Amino acid sequence: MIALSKKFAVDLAADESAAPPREPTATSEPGEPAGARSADTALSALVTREYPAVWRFLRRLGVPSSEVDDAAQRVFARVLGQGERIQAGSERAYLMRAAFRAALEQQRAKRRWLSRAAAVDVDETSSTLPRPDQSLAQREDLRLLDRALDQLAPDLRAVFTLSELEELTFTEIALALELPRGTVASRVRRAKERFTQAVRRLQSGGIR
Amino acid sequence: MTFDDEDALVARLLRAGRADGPSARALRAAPLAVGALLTSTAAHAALSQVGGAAVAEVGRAVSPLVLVKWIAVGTLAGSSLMAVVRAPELLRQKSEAEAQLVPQRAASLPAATAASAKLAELQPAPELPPDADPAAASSLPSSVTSAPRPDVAREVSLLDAARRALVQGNPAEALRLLATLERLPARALMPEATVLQVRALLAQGSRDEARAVSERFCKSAAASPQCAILRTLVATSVIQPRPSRL
Repeated sequence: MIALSKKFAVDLAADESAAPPREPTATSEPGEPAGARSADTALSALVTREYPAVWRFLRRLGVPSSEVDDAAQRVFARVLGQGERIQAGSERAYLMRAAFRAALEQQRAKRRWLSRAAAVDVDETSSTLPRPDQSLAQREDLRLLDRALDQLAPDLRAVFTLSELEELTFTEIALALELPRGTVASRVRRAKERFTQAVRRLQSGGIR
Repeated sequence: MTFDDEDALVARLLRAGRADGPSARALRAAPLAVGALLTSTAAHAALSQVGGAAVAEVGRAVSPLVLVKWIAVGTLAGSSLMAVVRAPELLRQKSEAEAQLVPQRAASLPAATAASAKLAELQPAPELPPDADPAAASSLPSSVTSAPRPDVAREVSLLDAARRALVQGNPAEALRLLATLERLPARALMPEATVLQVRALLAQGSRDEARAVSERFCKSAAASPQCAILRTLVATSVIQPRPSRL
């Protein structure tokens, strides 16, 4: 049904129970129009709930840490601004679809840029800056994870990330990447094998 | 490495990947930033076409009232950008006009943009030749020769910094930067700064002060587009997060 019509509604109200607790706002007052309150709250709830997943997906697809927040914000703006009606519960799939496209566009743009500035090391541009809230071991693991993911083709990388990291079902991945469910299943299997091989290779080569 | 070790390593990497995520600050700022982007991507038009009961909430989610807030942000950002982008061009056009010293000089000013007009007003007026049209000469501002020139680039830079601070949830910092602006000897972007000031005041909960600033501005510039924006901002009290929460 979903793949046929592409007309869905984001029923944010129906999903509000699953949203994180609302934060009180400074100027929200009894006299304030209910529409404005509901508006900001619904938008904020959706973004707050789905932002981490979109962020992680973009990051694992190779979007540099310095650009990932901008990219994630654009993904939300694109999905919410295009007027497509998204069914409740399918928001994440639509966001992931937009994120995948955005990551591919970003990679293409980066390749174009790199072709003009040949001296730049690709790894340097996509390296993760240390964050104070991450332990050294976690950063090392993320680095190895990203290096292993770099060995995968974009389509395998996307299905692997959605399946193994975001833990989406095959049906959800099929919706997000506009693929038949059977194709998703076979790609996930292949991606797991390639990922494990890549980790093995990186470990045997002493690359951490 | 044994297969067990390998499995354990893969599992650990996947755990690290699942635990990764945006910083708390970026997560808190995201809704505000997305709202701002929605304005610039003409979300209003798209969402206004969305119909049906099933989309009632999303229709309200980006209602005109909320969009007014983002339109204000967009207007400010656009004005700032245009001032920067067009300033050299406008100054060049003005220099050319001055070089020609045609009687139509004064008449050409209204056709320029607001930024151009402001820049033109604050430029020293050239001396007219003896055969110049007296009507054109009389239409020139009499005090322009003594007015200090505004540092538009610095104004734009400070406005941008203040806007960034506000978007990142730090209205106090935004107000501090705007206070720096007020110390400049001449200002070309005062209306834009006032809009930002009111938004920052609303964001930190100083609604009465925001209203006072808005009324003071509208008293002196009732016809300006910024006045309408300010009135809407104050009247609708658009939701702004507290500094400590964003």
